[in-house]
Amino acid sequence: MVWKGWKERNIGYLLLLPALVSLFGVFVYPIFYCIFLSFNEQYLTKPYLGMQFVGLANYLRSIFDARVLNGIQLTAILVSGILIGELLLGIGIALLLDRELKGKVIFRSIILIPMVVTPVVTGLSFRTLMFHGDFGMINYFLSLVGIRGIGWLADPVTALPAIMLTDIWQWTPYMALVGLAALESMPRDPLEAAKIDGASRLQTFMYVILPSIWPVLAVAVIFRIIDSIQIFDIIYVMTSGGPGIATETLNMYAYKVGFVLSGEVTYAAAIAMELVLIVIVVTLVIRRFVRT
Amino acid sequence: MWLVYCALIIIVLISLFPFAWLVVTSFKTRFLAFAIPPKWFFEPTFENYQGVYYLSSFPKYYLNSVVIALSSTALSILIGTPAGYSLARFKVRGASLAQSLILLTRMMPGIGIIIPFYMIWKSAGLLDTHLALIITYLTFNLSFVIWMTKGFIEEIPKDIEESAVVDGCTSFQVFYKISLPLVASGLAAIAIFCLILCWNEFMFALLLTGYTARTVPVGMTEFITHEAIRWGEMAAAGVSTAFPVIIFALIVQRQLVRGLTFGAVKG
Repeated sequence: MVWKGWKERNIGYLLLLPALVSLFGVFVYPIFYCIFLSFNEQYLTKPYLGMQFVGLANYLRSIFDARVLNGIQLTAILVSGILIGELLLGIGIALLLDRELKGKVIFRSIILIPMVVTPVVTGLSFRTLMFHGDFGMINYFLSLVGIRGIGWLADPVTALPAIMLTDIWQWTPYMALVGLAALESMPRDPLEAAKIDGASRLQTFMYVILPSIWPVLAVAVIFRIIDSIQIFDIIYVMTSGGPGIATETLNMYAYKVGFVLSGEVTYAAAIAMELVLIVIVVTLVIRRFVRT
Repeated sequence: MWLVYCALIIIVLISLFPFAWLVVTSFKTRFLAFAIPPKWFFEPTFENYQGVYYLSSFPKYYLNSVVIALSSTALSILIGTPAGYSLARFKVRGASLAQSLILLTRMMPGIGIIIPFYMIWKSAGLLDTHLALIITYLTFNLSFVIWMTKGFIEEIPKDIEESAVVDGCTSFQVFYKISLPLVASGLAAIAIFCLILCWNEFMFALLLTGYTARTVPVGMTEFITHEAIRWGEMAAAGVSTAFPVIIFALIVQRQLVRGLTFGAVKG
């Protein structure tokens, strides 16, 4: 009888317990194991060597590793380009949709399609059908207006922008839908007041609309930044980090170090931890930015 | 005003064109698939779909994806919904820890998870098994289920639950027989969302599977070989992969924004 009361009194804890245990198992433990790995040295291709403790050697090495620096730069450029594109286009589309429209529901349904198409499929179809130098549709459309197309993914200068465009195509609807939700829940009075005061469209946007929707957009922005830093699918199927290392983001380099080049999982673990650090720093910076 | 409609039509065209072109390509013969200038009208053929379904390992990968997605989603819901309910209704001493962990899992780069997991599954001899992937996918599914369930439960008023307790239900019965049915449609959306996440996932599947447990996204890369790109078949496989996801997404579209922002935006 006492036992039965104990179950009832601690029901909240009991309901949460399986989840807590699972989270520790599939999240906390692997992270600590990754940190542990980063202080050692082991090669998947040479299992007979076993694992050896090397302290901070991996981290020191990464500071002087040119490909790490290249990876960080490319990641920064990629994320910036993607964010700017998706914010501008997304807010633009949201503003367009925030009005009485015939078929608004259909528009909303259609624009969510790019977001859910399997990224690998998106990457492969953009690689072959869109960006292909000889047979791609982008070059075809360009040729219709007399511009000569190039091999987008084969040229080190245009490869990263091509990846950017692919991700922008895929995730702008996300920004647009979040922006639209924010716009639709915005109180209308300030808008009326601005109109009465004679504010221009741009002024209304900058000083009334934008501050109002920004907190909501910021959440979407943070998620997009975190996801963009980790982009893997589309880079893997479109360029594999190439040509050369022109699209080798830090994430892609960590993958190659651990599973392609010499199977040095421990060095890859160190790079992965550095990537985690970057995400933490970026997240903190953004949140401070949002608070002001 | 018609300017707005023009802009929207352009946006729709841009949104739909790549996938539509993929569908069109999947019905073209190998020769027509990469003809330039592209043929808009032609005689469709099913040879690509036949090639994909009868002559390649694609059906096997499809089955793997279905099994793994369903299992992982079921497991996440089994573990996650009670936790979400607990966080919503009770003051528990593990609550803030759980909430921090949940947010952390959303922020953590996958590469930091997959490297240790590869080593773990390797030493357990479980590489290239369905089980390994099912459990590994909990990493992102579980927190999502917990957080979303918490949000949905918080929206239903406590009165119904309280009167059930007065009528003699245990707390667990309240959870199982009263609260869960009330958020059923939300749960369906959560489940579909998890299915989509598992189905589309690539990196974990790439590193943790070989021939036995390979999922569809990884299998798709087989259509780009060193000799040539098998355009038609790749298109057929791509359409087969993306089509179910699109249908499912359209079913839960109202919850989609809510899910993608982890509940921050109610859409």
